[in-house]
Amino acid sequence: MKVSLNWLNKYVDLSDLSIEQISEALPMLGLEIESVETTGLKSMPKVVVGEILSRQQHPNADKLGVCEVKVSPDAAPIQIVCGATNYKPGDRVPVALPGAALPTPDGGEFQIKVSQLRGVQSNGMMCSARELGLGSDHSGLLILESRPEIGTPINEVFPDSDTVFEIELTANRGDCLSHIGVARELAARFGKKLTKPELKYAPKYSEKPEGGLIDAVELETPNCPLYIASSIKGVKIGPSPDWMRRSLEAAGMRSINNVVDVTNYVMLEYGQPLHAFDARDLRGKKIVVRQAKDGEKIQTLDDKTHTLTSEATLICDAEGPIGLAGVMGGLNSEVKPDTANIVLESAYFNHGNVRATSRKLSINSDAAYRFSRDVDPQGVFDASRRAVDLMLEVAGGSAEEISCVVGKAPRGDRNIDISVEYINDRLGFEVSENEVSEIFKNLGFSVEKNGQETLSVTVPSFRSDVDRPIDLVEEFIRLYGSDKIPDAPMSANASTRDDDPLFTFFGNAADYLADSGLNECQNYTLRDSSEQEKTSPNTKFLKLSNPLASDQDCLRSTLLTGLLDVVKLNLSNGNCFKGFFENGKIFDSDSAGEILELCSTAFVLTEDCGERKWAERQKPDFFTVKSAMFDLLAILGVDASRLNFSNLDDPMWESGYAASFGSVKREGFRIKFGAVKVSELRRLGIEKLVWGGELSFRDDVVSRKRKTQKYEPFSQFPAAVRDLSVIVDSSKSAAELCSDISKIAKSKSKGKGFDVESVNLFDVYSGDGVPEGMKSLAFAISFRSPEKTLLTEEVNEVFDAVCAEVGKKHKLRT
Amino acid sequence: MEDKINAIIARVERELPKAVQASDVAAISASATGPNGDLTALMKLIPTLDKSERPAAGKLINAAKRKIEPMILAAYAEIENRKMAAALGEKPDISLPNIDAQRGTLHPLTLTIRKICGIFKKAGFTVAEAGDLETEWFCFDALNTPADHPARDAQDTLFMPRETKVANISKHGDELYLLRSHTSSVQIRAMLKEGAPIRIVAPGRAFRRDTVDATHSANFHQIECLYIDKNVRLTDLKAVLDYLFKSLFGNSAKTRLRPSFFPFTEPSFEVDFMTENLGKLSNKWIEIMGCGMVDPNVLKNVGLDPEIWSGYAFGLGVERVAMLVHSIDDIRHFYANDVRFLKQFQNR
Repeated sequence: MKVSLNWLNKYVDLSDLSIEQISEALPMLGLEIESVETTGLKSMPKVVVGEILSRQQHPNADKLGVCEVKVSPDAAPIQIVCGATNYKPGDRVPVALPGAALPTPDGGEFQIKVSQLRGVQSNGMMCSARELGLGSDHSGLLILESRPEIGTPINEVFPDSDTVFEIELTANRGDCLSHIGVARELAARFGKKLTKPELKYAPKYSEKPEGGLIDAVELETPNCPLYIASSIKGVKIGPSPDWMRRSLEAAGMRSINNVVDVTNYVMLEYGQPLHAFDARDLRGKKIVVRQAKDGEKIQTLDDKTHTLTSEATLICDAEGPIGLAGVMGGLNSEVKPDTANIVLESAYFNHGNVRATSRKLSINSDAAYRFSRDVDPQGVFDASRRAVDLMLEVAGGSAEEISCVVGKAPRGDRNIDISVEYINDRLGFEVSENEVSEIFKNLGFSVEKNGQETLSVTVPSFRSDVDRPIDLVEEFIRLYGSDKIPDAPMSANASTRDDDPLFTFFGNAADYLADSGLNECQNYTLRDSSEQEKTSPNTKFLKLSNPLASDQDCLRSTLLTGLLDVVKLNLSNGNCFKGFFENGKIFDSDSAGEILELCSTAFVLTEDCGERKWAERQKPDFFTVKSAMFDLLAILGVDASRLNFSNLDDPMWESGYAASFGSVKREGFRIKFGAVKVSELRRLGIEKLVWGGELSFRDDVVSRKRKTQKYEPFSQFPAAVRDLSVIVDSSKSAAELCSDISKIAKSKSKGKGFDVESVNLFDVYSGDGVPEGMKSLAFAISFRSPEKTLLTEEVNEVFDAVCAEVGKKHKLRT
Repeated sequence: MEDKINAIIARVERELPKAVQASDVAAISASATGPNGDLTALMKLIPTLDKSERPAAGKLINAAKRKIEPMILAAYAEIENRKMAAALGEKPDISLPNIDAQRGTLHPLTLTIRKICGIFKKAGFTVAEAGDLETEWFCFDALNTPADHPARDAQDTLFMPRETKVANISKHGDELYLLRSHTSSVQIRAMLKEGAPIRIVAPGRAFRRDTVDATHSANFHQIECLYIDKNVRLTDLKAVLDYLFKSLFGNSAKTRLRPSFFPFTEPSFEVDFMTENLGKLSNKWIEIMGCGMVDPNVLKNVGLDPEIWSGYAFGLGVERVAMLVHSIDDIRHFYANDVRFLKQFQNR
């Protein structure tokens, strides 16, 4: 909202304050300033219009001229030395006479005196635009093309100076959407008196006025609890006076005609939007406020036709809509050049309802802006009286003695009891009762002592936001100065509460992956559903109801797609990198549409990014990502060595080169790792192999309590190791075979006084000596006793039994 | 005799360094102390000596053996050392560049979150988490934000369809699911679960229906801070803000509270801070976040008695802090993930 300093000065005398002081005070009152703009000419007595009669060359300076300038119709011309060259005799220019004070760019003043310039007397100064503070033009004298009368004070030629503050208001301060509201705040801040306009029009109020321009107002909706219709007969539509036009323009409004301007002027003055109807257009001499019917149409003042729902509130006459309540008037009842009789609406409309309607129809009118932030119910009366006064002043006519009023103000003054002790307790420092009452009184609240300890504070209706003692504490500190809150020591107690385990997990996972040479990424949570549907089955359940853009219309179901975007970007930018990872939330939906929010860690590695090096290293492969996945599972607290992985068949992963385990419903976590599907990479424009993995889990998995690890004693004696090679079908799972052999070895060594410590696969071979389609897997079985060094014979006995047993199912390689 | 013994020792000393393999050493050893070695031969001569000379001669020979044996062992060890050292390969040019990728990096937003959570941890605050998906009640109603508040508008907040069901995020009633527009919803979840006193920081993603530009992002990060206890006052809020900004920007940092409005705090403030060493922004008030004393209605909504409990809360924009700390001029860098950006943040 734009607030003019000249206008504010009508209600509070701010003349002793600099622009800087006001600009600092407003934000500290909670009224944030977007911009400050000073326009027009400051008051400059002794600067007048002069006409240059002649110019002579200065005898001692090439660049100076000596001019005869007439500055008064009656007196003789004066001599002025001037350096400018853009004028000719006959031009009229601003002349600063001795005693004048011109503004300097640094905010000071420059005094004009009679002086000698290179030996020639100069009795004043002819001015450029910049020298008058009118913009930055300093290329020469300001030539007054309109040729105002010689001797006219320059302030009569140019409009007055004004400073306009553009204020950004928080949603609770509807009371400051007016000049009186802002003036009240400044008056309170600087301890000054607030003077409101004197209201002359004092109508009688009646629900059924007789003989006026309107017979009845009917309120059929709770969205309009109070409505005043005043009648003014015999106005003459025409332009507004200069002072009103200038005020409106300063506040950023266009002047329309005197009647409409009055409604806007009073809105900017009191914050109460008003509307003037041409009485001729009120069919049936009646106003009805009701909810719209679904599909009902109205054409508003801006010439647009809107189709309404029953949410919208309408102002109607006996036959149909004439205005959209609190938002905009109807085109059919607007004030026209030949309008003579006016019905003036001043009403209170429910703020939520106005806001919803204006949002829904995208009408951002000044009226809707104010109503949706809650206007002062008492101001409904004051503003309508003020508007009648001004209309009579600027448009003539006469007002009916009786105003039609229906309903009542939904909010009046409120009493709040508060003790200074309570205030001190909320603040944490001591203030006195005097300071408290002074501030409340300055804000326009009344304060009475209520017994020994409490104050009874009456908050007027214009403050919709002050209802409770804590609200008064806010008012106090706002005016006391929140910059005066004293420094205090930081108090801190140790806490036994732990960080959420998810934060700890993500932190550990990030450290691990970054230490492995990967760079952490952050990708958007929202993705393009048409893309995601290609690789994720139930994406339709993850769509937003009101996306801003179609490429951000659904929740991501994996982190992998974001990481592939990153790979693609960095490859196309020619960057060198090893790989990337991300921690974040993803969203799973089952075929029934139920969504699970999951935590996820994913990483990708490229085979190489094309960087040339003086020596080669082994490229990443399946086991690079398998090992990383095991480490991540360990960080999560899951022992991966016991898990049985399945081949992963998934649109994002290369079949046969990727593995998976788990379900978020059953185990609470799910992993996928291996090679990203080559056709998918190529579809995305990535021409390098990408290996990766994703670990996704419900947040309760990470919160599972972990066992405290207890020390287990280990044997002091050496192990006896025997190797066993088995020839199996090349599709046979090594893990399965290993687990079979392990079981057999354990059963055969049972009761022999020693254990199978481990069964490790150490060789995979196919080729000479192994039939086509088969492979040889070699395992080292390690036996160990906790009590003694094992004898060859006792180990051989068990090993032979193991070989015999394994040999029953598989071919042994000898 | 003595001369002969010394000659043998000298010979061994001379020969050993020439040995290339273990068999060379064995040969040298045998030539001295082996059954056919020279020292053994001398030993065999002892019985031929005068009886009085025999003890001395025996001593000399034994002393010589004791001297030679460790020399032989050392020679064997030297050969084994050389054999193993051969696996070192050629001596490298130590100025050649590294082959392996350098240590990876954490995202600057992660670094900023860690830094801030670390600052708070020193003051007894620990991390709380809650979902990115939230419901209207937790995001708005419980935070004293009425149904007709502008923030709840579909123009500003991203909603899920009415029929959406989320298995692991609880609803309060029959309200809509949405993407949380601020991390303040964690306050509600945490207070309902843990009660008071409570002292938490909650880093996380938040979402607004904003068009992406240099300062706006479809998702962004906040760190919510909440402290509820008996007798928490406005001066405590000022103290924690001073502590936070001095910790982040150095001891010259100052803070200022400017009155503002948020539905969930009363009184509410904007926080401005000012510090040295921030380039063009040095020694100017910089608006950084909103804060305030938790509104009594919020406490009531989570079942805490505002007559007993009070506290402060604020939500700090992580991107904004990271941009200030690292002089980043465009929020989109955080989500583009160009390694030339990511690799600049090496210090954890």
